[in-house]
Amino acid sequence: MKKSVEIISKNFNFKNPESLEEYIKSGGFSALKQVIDMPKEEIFDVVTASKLKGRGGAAYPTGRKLQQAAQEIADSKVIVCNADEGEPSTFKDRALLEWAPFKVLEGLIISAYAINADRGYIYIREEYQKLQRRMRTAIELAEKENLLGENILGKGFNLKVEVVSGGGAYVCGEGSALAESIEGKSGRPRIKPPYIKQKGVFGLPTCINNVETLAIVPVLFSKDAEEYLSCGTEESKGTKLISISGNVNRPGVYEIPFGLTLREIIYDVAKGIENDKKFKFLQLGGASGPIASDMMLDVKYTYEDFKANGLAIGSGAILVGDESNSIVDYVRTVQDFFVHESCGKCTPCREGNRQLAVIIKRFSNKIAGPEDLASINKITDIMKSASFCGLGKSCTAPLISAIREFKEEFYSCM
Amino acid sequence: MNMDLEKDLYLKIEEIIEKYENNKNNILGILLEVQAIAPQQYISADIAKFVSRSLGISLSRTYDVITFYSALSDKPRGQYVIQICNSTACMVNKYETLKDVLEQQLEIKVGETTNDGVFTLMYSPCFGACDVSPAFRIGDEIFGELSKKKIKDIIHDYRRENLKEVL
Repeated sequence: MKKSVEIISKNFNFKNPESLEEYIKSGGFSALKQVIDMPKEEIFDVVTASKLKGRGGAAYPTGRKLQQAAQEIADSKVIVCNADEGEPSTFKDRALLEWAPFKVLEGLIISAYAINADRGYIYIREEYQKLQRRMRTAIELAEKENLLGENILGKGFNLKVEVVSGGGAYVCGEGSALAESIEGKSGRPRIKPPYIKQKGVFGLPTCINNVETLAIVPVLFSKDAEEYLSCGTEESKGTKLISISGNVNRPGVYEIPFGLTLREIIYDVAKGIENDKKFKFLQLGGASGPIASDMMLDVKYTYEDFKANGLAIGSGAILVGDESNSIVDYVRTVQDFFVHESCGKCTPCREGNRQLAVIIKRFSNKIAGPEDLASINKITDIMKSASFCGLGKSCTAPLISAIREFKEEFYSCM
Repeated sequence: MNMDLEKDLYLKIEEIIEKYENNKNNILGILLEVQAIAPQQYISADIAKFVSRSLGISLSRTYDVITFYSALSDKPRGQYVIQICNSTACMVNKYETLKDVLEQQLEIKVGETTNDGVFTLMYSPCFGACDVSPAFRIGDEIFGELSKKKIKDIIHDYRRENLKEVL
């Protein structure tokens, strides 16, 4: 099996990623031209058969999401590209926005057509200001070629797309918080129901997709589809863009077929640990992902193998730490991040994260006691069950998994 | 501030608001652009009032946005805000070393502004430069794969840039 491929990342060696001409020459927008003549049901069938799952982290089946969005009846519908890539150690959407803005745009247009959306927003994090400008340019060029705007390709389909900037708030990656932010408010999540798919941005049915998910959509309708679908396993078809970082020799964004082991990813794709040090741990899927020890190195990178081992693909981030790192200090960094990013709307997340930070600091200062472990259990249980949104529900995963995998290190701090 | 400069600033703010079609839904984008041209890189109370009035929204709604998003500040800062990433990838790549060099170069601690008002040094959550970690950013410029000399040069360049602007 090849260890890295170039299907979604085919355009990453473009001379000028802002050239629509270059994109079209490489086969770009042929998928849109094909899809726009297809019955909608067929579009959903293709996406569903690919078993594509949301690549932002939630892994919701994209075919089902689009079909559900199509079933909403409204005069106007919204499609959103979520480019608020805020998960620490995730930077694969940055690569797509940088090198393949038209591919993302084509995926957005196809998806909008499938669900009958007439308004599109590309919500790009504030930290990627340059890429916001690049995407605005891409939109203008596409409008000139009638690939966007009124009566697209003469088929009576209208879509107006605009770029919206984030403001440096991690929680805005959550769907309803993102909708609030697009409306010009502080990005605190909304109570559900109604769900975003029913009432999202400006109260309109809204379908939110990650950058990478959208970039895969045109591939499914192009001549590259066969190659893409031949990668991976039955349950995890295709490829994944991973962001690998930390103490490895070649950090970066790689497109890998599902099914490599974590060991192959770290030692073959990222060329091993820096300075020949020993591997110690990895964190998967961003700051809210689980922490794993070397026991997990032979697990295959697929949705099903990860699930069976209590891991999660999440955003596709793989952060590697070598033996020089203290796991307690690492978890402290993660915890400080969540204290900073909790939006403060609900008590379990706001206060829970603060208390956890205080307790972890005690471990870091080696003055923790057995009662601190008990408090961690109690607080994380409450956060998981009572937090308002996914942030508070999932942000305890690294701490819980770190204590499970590196018990001795925590005990030695007591 | 001198009156002409102030008038000029408000004219520019009006232009930004117009570019965003006077639409209150675009307040985040408006404030980000306004902050970038405002003296001391922050939204002053006067600017906040001006933007609120122009968009026809309450001052409290404007402050809801300013105080919620960490990219916006309601306190004066240096002309260039240096943000050191202190998230996970930069932690394992020892951002502390980078912090020490910057503190030494600027003769301030994280959270402080240099006496001449040119630089503010602060921490930031991950901004997606993990492949060149440890990293820092100044505005929309990202700096990674650093050495002591490279950091020195960057600071030097910004100081020169600032001198040009003052003159």
